[in-house]
Amino acid sequence: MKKKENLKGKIRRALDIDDLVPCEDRLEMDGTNELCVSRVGRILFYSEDEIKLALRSYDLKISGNRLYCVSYRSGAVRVSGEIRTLEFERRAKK
Amino acid sequence: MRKTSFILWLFGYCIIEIPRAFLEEFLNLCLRYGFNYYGIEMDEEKKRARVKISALEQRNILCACRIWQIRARVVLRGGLPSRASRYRGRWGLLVGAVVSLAVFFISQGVIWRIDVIGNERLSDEYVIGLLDEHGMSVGDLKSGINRDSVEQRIMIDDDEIAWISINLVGTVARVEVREVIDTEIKDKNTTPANLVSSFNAQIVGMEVYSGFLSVKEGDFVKKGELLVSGIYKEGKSPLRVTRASGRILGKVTHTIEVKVPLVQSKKVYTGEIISKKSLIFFGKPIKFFTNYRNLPISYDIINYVYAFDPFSLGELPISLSVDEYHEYEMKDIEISESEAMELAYEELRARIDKELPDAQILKKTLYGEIVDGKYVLRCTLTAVCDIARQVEFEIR
Repeated sequence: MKKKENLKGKIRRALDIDDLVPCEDRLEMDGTNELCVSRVGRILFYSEDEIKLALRSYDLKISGNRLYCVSYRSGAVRVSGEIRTLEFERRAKK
Repeated sequence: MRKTSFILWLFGYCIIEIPRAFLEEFLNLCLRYGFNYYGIEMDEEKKRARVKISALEQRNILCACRIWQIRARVVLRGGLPSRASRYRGRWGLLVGAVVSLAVFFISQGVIWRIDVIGNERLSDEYVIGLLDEHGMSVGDLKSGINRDSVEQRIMIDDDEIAWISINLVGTVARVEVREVIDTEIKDKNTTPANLVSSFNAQIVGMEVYSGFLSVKEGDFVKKGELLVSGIYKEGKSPLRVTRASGRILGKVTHTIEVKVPLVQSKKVYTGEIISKKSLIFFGKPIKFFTNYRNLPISYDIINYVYAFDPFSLGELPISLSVDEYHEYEMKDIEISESEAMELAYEELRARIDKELPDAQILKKTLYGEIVDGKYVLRCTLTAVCDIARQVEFEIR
């Protein structure tokens, strides 16, 4: 069954501004040294080898070396360092 | 810890220490309120994290940490404000910094150096002196100089300079000059004059520019005899007056006698030297001391100027001027005949240059002897030279 599109989605599609106003969590990678994640809810774990971020519906685990993260007020987090793996863990609905 | 950016250093930063267990909470706090941090570092045991934050946000962050019950404490403060606080109360440093900054900014607006280009006959010092007379020198404010006016006045006042241009390149004034070539230098004196002979001579050549020629080649003339008249008549016109000019070459026989006493009064330096030092800053002398010892009765002054030229990049308008006063006494000294002869020859050369300038010497006879305690050198010269001398006259 097709999911019903909400008003926000309709407007976004009509104006063709999907890229500017993303509806889902957005991840942008620049090589393997930088990762920008938008709509981060919380930082669950932070260490130089592993950073775990809570997104809307899943958690993102970033593993690597010399990791460092900078957060922005808009809810974006930029992780820099040597990124090796990205793991997505869907959270069980309460 | 990440490198401290200049802006962060300028406004100051501090490092706060947070227990490892609170690190994620702290990061979430920053994420929530938009606080910036500039580096996270864990200690060796990984029990504490050190986070660098801006000093401007320090108060807000620590306040938010208290509300979120995060244990954070400032362990280090850095940057300019914390460094400056070390010098609190030391007003001399502040005044010095302000004065040096003021000097730095003021110095941008003054002339540091004057470079003269395009001069061949005239020296740099002459042109710089000329500029000084017309209101432009090292240390003057650039805004206070009317370049057009200085250029115009120099071109009008000075006969040696045909054209001058002043260009300000930063703090250096580049002065370009074009000299008047010799043929352009005209005798501006219009007082009527005759040309008369300076010697008894036989005329061998002539070159008359103005006036009426009264002699011809081969004539013998006496000293003071009229050669070229400043009064002349053309056809039926009334008498005309001019300033006679030209060159009359004559063959002359001239005798020069030089006397050098064998006992001479000579300067003998006592070795006593008094130095007066002053700093020349942008052309203005600043004396180090106002009271010096009394100067000796007889002295010679030698002035040394040491220009400040760091790394040979160009002279700065700062120099040290030292005036040395060398005391001397006049003493009678007996000289040998050969020494007297040497001095006599030296004086003779100088007198020939003075009395017969540009002369072509055909014959020279020398005779030297000692007469009454003096070495007398007689020189008889036969030479071809310009014998014409201008003698002005009045018209009533």
